[in-house]
Amino acid sequence: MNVLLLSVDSLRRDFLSAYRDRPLSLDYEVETDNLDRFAEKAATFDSHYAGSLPCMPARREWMAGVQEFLWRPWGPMEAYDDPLPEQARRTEVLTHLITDHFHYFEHGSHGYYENYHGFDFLRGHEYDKWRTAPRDPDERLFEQSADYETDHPHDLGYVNRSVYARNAEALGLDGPDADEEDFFGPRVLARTAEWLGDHTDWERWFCYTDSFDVHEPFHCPEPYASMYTDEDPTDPALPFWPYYGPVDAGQSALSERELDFVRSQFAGKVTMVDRWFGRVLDALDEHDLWDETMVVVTSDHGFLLGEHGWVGKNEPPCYDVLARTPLFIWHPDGARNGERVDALTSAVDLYATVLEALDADVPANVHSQSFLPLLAGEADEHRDWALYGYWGSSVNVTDGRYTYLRPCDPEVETDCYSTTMMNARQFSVPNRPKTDAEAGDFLPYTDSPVWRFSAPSTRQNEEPLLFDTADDPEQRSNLAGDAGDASGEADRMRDLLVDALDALDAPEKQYARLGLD
Amino acid sequence: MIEYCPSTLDGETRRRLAAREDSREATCLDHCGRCHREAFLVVDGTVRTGPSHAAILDDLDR
Repeated sequence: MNVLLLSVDSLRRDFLSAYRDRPLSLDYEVETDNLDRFAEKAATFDSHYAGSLPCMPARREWMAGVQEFLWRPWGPMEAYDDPLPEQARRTEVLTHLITDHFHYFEHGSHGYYENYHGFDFLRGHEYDKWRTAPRDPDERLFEQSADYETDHPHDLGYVNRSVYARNAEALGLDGPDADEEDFFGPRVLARTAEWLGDHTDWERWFCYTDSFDVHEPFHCPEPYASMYTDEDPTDPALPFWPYYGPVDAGQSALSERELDFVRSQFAGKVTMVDRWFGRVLDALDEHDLWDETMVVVTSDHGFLLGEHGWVGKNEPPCYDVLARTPLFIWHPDGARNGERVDALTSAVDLYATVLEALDADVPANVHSQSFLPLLAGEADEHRDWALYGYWGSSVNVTDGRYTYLRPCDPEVETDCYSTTMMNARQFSVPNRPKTDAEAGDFLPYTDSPVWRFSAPSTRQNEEPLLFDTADDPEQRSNLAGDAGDASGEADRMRDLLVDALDALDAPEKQYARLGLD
Repeated sequence: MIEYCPSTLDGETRRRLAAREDSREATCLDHCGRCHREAFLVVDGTVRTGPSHAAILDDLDR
């Protein structure tokens, strides 16, 4: 058995016709013909949730089977992890990574690509530290992605948005008539299609394609840039890289016109990636791979485009737009191919599911549970709860219908556990020594000693939030504190959260900072 | 509006900022490079820097 695992970063499931006729907040449909085609062939998971967010925490769930956000934030694979590609190698599986995801190469995020037999890193996306010339980048691209006061192109500090304009110019993406095949998603997916054709003589392989698109910057070529807007998409006044935060205040504030444009460019990226995903499907057809290949398509999280008053992610409550992610799986022997699967599943479960499909060993100490029995038609249920959230903030739980978002006390710091002195925040700059760190055998899932140090907690929601996603899929009505029929549900979900924390042997301090007994 | 992230704030300045009605704490303001180098706050959408967060705040209040 081969496995192709394809992540499309920030892909909102409501943008896919398989999940919703038209996206939330949009009055138009978004073309996703190829993802729809795949959904008709594969099992479509209706209750799949992210675990640890955002980008790298999600990848450690997939690649190490660890629900890390209770213990640490965005960071590297740990020495005590059993990386998925390493487990696959031990059972004689060829492994390969195809990505344009710069975060794998940033400060403090090592250990994700090193275990593959080969990897393609396609340069230039987002903050990729690639091109340093010209000193003054393309003015139009710069103005649509940054501003001179905040990210001056001559500033030599870390994390400067002007790098994107230089990279894009080097790739020939600066002109309005730039070829779509030179853009990021198309390059990643074209390379995946090519890789599939080149490796038909290997007995078993695991190919992990991690497309940074449709993550921002939402820079699209034609026809996608104009597909969902009547604006001139090269108008320097219209941003394609919004700041995260409230849509109506501060540096993230967007006018209605700007927000409409951002939405249109996100939608354009979705359609662009969908069209190039079609080439991957074509390659699977052309090389007769379907009978020997499990194909998994998913995403790490969503992206708020004005819903609930927010743009982006990280700071707002973990609404389903962010946490309820798309998942489609084709299994050659799948009994559920072409069907909907309503069983609750979690991102962390992909680790064990992929390893089991590869006949590789699943370590006993991970948080991941294979859902191959669901795909085989041997089970209808999988888990009673799924935990999700960001380190240092709210901890959230769902039973597949209700979502319960439990706030933290921002006055109570959160402990960070790692073999490294990772920055608890400020992920993309050099680590600083943690002079107050203690070392010890603190983790329930390894005998390895780790550092323990604390950092500030931040609040995503002030009060508990409870939503019935069956009756209220947009999560507009908070039922927590409701004296009516839902009062029992709030208690039940709080108890379910405690059960989940107990099951994972979460740090004692988590209960205190969440105000739980 | 004054926007700040808690990464490099001292506890007292964080409490001082949190007590204001015109402030907002963000998990991260996407200025990690600047945050690594110097104290800053975002005031009405514009980055303001200074020798410390408290000094920027003092300057704003003056």
